[in-house]
Amino acid sequence: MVNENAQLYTIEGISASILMLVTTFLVISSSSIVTPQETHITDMQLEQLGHDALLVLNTPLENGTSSILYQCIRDDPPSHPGLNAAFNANFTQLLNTRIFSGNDTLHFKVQLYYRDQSSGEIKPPIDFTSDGVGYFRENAVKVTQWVKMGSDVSDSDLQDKIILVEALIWRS
Amino acid sequence: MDDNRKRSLEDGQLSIDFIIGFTIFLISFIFIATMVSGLLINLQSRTIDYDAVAYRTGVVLVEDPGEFGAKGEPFYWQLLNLAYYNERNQLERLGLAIDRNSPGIIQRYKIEKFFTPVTLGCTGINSLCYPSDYTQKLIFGDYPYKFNISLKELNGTNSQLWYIGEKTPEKHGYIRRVVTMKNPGYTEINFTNSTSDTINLFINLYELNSPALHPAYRMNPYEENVTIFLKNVTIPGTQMVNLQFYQRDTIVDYPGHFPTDSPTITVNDGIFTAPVTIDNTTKIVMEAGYLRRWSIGENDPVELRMTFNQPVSDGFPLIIQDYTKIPPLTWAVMEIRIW
Repeated sequence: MVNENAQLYTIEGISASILMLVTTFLVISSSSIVTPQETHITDMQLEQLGHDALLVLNTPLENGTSSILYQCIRDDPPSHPGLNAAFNANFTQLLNTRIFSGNDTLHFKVQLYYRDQSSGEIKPPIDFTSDGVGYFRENAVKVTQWVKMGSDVSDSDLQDKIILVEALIWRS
Repeated sequence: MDDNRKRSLEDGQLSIDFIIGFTIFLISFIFIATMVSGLLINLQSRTIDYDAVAYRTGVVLVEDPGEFGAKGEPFYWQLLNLAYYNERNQLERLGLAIDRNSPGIIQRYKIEKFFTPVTLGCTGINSLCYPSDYTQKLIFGDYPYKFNISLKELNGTNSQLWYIGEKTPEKHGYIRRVVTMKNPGYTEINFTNSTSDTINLFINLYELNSPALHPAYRMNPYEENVTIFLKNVTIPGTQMVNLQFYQRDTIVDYPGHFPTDSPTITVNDGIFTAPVTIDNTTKIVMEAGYLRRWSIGENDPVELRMTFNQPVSDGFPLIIQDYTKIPPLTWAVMEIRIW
């Protein structure tokens, strides 16, 4: 005989299945994902551009010559106070030039790292230059480039050193 | 025994409730399954995808020299004569870098080929096909992305601008790259009015390709025009009466035999037909791809022998790199937009 073991009562079964389906539908269709990746994409673009700009500055334009980045450090070493005008002009141009629309609004601050001649310790970061705009924002990126200095640097502390140039770049 | 027999008659029977419930579940399952792909649209962000594709496209263009033929072959896809079906088929990937080890340094000849496509009737034309070659060999992916790529030289008033693609909508992926651009060199030969009426110009590809010199600063006759200017022409009426091209000591090309289509050797922008009157503006060009046309190896020595009706040199052979100037690299900005 048919008894009531493991039987699904029709009305309860139908209503339960409808409930489950409606719930699933609502959950899937209404879920919205907050995408912090978008911020990372912007960071990535900024980082790529900054890296490109430093690399371009660190590439000699002619065989046997020094790169502009090298020349800037050589001719205006960090022991000299003030901004490095040559570096600023070139770096600003590379960072901010857009082709069809107006120029971009990226700002930067550059520091140098190298080992102390006598102690061999890495010196605290030395402010090299900035474009003069204060940094008030969170979303900045850091890009770096190694520069091998020669013996033609007036600042004896930098002679024959490998210097890490670190640029902090942000959008305003 | 009786109970067991009775029960066995009803074993494996489905109740009407179960059949109704299972049917509703199956119908609903099929219904949901067909809708799921549509529901998930809300979960994807196209802007992120476009940015990623723009980034990838930028990397391929700026850091990759492109590829053709079998893996490991050289990177001068720009020399392929795309008018021929089999050469067009060899093209695998478009990239503008001078080689694999020089990311960020792009080559002017690749740029020119890249930014001068044809839009209709690509068959039989030595140009890239827009947009199919770009979507299949640069942007990739199944989704039919649209694009706009522009490149501007940062060289003061001489800045050149190249662009390709459609008008960009508001929503698009974007990346900007800064690059250096290698420009072709040129050779200047000064006449000396000495004893010999010939100039033998050696193009020693093996030495030019020396690894001691970074590719960005090399003269590259294989992939770039060899442009020769004749200077210090002091005797009026000086004429070039013969021009011959040698591979080692074997003559390859000579008057009446120079190909009439590109790549070839030209004198004052025309095919050489003796005699040609020479002055200080005379220009001889061995076009990029000419060596490949004659299947000359990348390290084979070749020679241009020019004969004149007046004494023009001391007769000693000239080595091309001694007379060649490579212009400085120039900076450029590239913008890539994908949607």
